Amino acid sequence: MTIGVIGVGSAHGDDQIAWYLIDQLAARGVADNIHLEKVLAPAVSLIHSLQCYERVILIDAADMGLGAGECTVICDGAKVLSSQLQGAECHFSSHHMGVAEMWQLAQQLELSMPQINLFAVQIEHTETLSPISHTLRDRLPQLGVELDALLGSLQAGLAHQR
Amino acid sequence: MTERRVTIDVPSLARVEGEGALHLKIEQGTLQHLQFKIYEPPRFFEKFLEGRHYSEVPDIVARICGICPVAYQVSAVNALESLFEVELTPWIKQMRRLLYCGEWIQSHSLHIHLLALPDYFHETTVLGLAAKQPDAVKRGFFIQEAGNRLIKFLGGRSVHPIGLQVGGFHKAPSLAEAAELHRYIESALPEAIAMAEWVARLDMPDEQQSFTSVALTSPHYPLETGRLKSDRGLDIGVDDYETYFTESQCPHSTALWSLLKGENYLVGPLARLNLNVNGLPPFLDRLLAKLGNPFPSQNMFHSMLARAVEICFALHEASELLRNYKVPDTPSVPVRVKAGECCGWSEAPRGLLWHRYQVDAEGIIRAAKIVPPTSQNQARIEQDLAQSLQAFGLEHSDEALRLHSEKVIRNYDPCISCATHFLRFSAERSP
Repeated sequence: MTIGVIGVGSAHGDDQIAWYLIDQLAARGVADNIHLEKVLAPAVSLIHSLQCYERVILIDAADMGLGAGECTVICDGAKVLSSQLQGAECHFSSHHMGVAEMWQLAQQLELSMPQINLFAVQIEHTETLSPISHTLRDRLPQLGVELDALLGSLQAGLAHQR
Repeated sequence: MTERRVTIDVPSLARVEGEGALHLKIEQGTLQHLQFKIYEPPRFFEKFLEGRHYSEVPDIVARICGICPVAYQVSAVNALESLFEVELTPWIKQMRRLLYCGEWIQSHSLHIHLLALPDYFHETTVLGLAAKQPDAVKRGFFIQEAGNRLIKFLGGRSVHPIGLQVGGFHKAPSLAEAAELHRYIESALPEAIAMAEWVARLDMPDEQQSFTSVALTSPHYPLETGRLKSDRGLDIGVDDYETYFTESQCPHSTALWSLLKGENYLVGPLARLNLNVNGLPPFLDRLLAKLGNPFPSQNMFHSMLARAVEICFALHEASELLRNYKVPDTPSVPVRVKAGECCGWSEAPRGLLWHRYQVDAEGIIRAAKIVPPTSQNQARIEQDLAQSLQAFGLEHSDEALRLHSEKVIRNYDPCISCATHFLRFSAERSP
């Protein structure tokens, strides 16, 4: 069984946090059944990426009203995405299509999707083409620990299933 | 006399790459004024390139567009390699063509299914289309994935690839990777043929217009190289481009306008197919014959079918190139820097993409000029809109005029972000 860890981000400020976390995981190495992916513009390609795995950790920057660099893990990410989309305005041009739009489209097409765990990190800023904030950079080791814990629990869950 | 002035504004054109606007002024039932505005701020990529080493150019120009980065890379390396008199190996030439096939497949698939098709099913987004035609949308995404995989195969990643360099590639993929990709491409080709047949059966407006088609031509359908021809006698090499084509600034657009001897012209899949319909492989000749081959065509609404045919072509070409894939001794050849001026071009999914560079003896870029397809199609889009809206009937409601205008503009798959970057629509009417 494979686990995909997919970091969604862009080159703008703290929106790079998911890519930093993927790089951090890649640098220290992961088990063979864990695949790491960095995604720029999710759009349609994310649908294909998700379908390759049984379990997915989707890392994304978010503005959740937490302290900068704090993270939230949502284990039933699909349910949350679905509920958040009720009445939300979605954009389907290729320049605007994000995770929410991708999920709505996958649901409409009744595509089989894996169990998704959302690992959301609170941003400080996403200024165009600016570097990641010092606050989030300083939090990288701790975020790595929390991501490791999530990966460990997913691996244990898969082992238990087997 | 009662005066009726109507303002029709499309403040932001949906389902195009980037942001643009359309303003119409209609007086006494006649179209008095029409402007296709590109208002995104200029992006200054040509200026960014100045002072950079030639080796950085492929990665910088790839950032101009998330949909057609390969076209920018290939036009750039074509220019620089001609200046440095680089002799590419057959493997490098084949892999450049293979990489380019990937870009056509993903870009055309994205345009057909995500951007253009909803119009033909009275839907505003692909989500509505997915409810009515789920199998068609799934098939489109399956085909698009073939393009993404091809780009990743040689470019390292599907968006803003980084595998290409002046003199070749950074790395050659393995035989196992090639074999796995070949299996996917082979499975996507019959799906693409079914998609082309389905697109051909869609009810398209029958609007004949007079325009000049301009495209590269080559015996084996042009992607990454060829001579530039038109259906009105133009036949030039890459260095002669500026003798015939001029760019100018229009007050209502942040993108430059390109004209051919002062006249508008068309670049892109319809122009390419109009000029190269005899260069298709036999299976596509048979397919087009079965579909009542409309090419060459002066109906801009045949652009979608042209894209579908080009997807089939690119998948077939990719399959052929992958069938006999071998890992080369080296994925690149040495480059010897030389000062001078150089030009390069290739056929981006949206049409001709021309580059010119001045390079010094150290290999530093001293000047750069890039003419993207959307700049070339801007004047044609305005002319098409004026003709098409008159034919559609200006008495229609503002909403109907807006929707028709958007449909016309989408035929060109304009990448406004490339040309600088969606439709603000405004119209004024008086009876």
